[in-house]
Amino acid sequence: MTIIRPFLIVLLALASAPAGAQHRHDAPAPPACPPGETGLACAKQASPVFLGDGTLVLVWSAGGRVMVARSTDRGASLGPAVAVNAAVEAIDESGDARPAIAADSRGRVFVAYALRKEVAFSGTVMLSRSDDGGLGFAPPRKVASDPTSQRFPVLGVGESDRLYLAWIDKRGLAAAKAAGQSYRGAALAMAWSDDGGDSFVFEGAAQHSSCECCRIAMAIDRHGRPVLVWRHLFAPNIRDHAVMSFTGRDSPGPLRRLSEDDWRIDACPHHGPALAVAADGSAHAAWYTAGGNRKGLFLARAASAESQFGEPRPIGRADRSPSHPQLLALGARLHLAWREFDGEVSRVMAQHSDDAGVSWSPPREIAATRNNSDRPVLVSDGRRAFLSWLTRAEGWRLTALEPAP
Amino acid sequence: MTRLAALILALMLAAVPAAAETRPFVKGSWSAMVQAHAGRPLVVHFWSLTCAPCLAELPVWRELRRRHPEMTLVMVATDSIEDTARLERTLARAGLSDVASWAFADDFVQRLRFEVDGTWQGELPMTRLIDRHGDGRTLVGSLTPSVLADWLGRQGGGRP
Repeated sequence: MTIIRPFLIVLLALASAPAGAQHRHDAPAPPACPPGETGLACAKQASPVFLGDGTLVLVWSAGGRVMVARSTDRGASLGPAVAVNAAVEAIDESGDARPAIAADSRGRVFVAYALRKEVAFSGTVMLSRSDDGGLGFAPPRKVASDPTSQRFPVLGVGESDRLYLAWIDKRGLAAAKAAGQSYRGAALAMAWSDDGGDSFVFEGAAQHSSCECCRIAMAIDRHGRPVLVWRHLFAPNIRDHAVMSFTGRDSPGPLRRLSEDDWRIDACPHHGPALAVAADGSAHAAWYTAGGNRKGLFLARAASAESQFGEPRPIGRADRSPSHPQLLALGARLHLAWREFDGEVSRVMAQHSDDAGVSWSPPREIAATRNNSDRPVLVSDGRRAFLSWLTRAEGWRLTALEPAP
Repeated sequence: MTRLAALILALMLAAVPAAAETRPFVKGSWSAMVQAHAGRPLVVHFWSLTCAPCLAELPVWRELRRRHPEMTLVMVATDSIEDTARLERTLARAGLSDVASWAFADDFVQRLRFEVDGTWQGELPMTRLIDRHGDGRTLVGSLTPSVLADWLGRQGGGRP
């Protein structure tokens, strides 16, 4: 064994994708995927968006490329995939990192993702736009004015097709270091654009001291402005959630604490929250914590995005490790989904509420798998809500949360 | 890459200071490990090459072993067993070359984690303490050495 192993390591090193250990959180991609294979079967995650004409556009990363394909039959089949980036690159796709996708009222499709940099735990956020509904994409461009690090981008489209980006940024940390000062965590940075990402009205840090490794949740409120929920880093090492809404079209409001979970931890949970703003203006957040005050998956409700969130209530079966929540507001209905695992089977469970989150239907199983799976994603075409889920055994599937009307 | 280059690379890797051989951590490894140490307190530390707090903490483990020679410590990397060379180099550099080392070797990571602790969502560093009765306790995040010292102190004895 001692003699053979170095050779084996060489062979494995030659066979494996870009060098460097990746965080192997729940990666559904088969280990046998050859380098450069860009198919959906070799992806660890996939994220969907519906266009106004009912076309679904799906983005994933595999083989160092960010790939997009369209479905015109509610996910039953996917058309040919096109690459967003021109060459093989180190796409950030571990843990909570995944390409983001959004579409505006004119059918323009936006894809944002992060490239991993040589320096560990740092990246560069790239943005690309399609003007033909996801058939082809313009060369991706950097978004940030600061080179230090941007990761975990999310996208939203607000009033008058204003494009919003949010990501985790390390410029504040770099500046503090240079000044010999201390800095807790990273920053929540934002950019917004009124010309489809060609130029930015604003680009910079919106809040300091966010957690470094959790995906941000963004929803658009009734005024067409963004509301954000993210895992913050409160002093000294409390990784509880914070919420921020806008006080004006160009004015990010103050940070407010979402809940007092008191999760004191020097580690990266890689477990971001979910957020939806319902038709009546009420805001709904779901998140994972292992704090001193509560442990598990939780849901809380606020009368508006500016109001105080109420008492968190637990989600899912505590003995099945509920994780990775999703929230979706569609008309008068709110949908909540999450993943559970019993040691063998992963299930996506869902509940809905028709009274803006005051009461919820009993949890029911939407889909299940017996091998690796991506985080569940909820998406709507404006009429119906769907679960988009990539699993190793079954591939990608789109499952309606309720029967066709 | 030519065969000669592969051979040279292999020899270079072979020349790296050898740690205790890293073993594959697969489905069932956890219960086998706990069973193998039944009746004795066991400390299992989970870490990763991609986890900054884990790497910063490795020297702490060397110091804890020095201070508590009675402690049975097992290190399990959640990186792939394919990273064995880097794992063993990293452990050797931290003065942990003789510690029992394992690495995840089952791609269904979620199931491996569940076997260790049904509530563990993958946060690192993570340390699982198993007492002589088989009762477990999970410490998530960077270790507070006094917590481990207190636990060890309560175990009475150590290796039989």
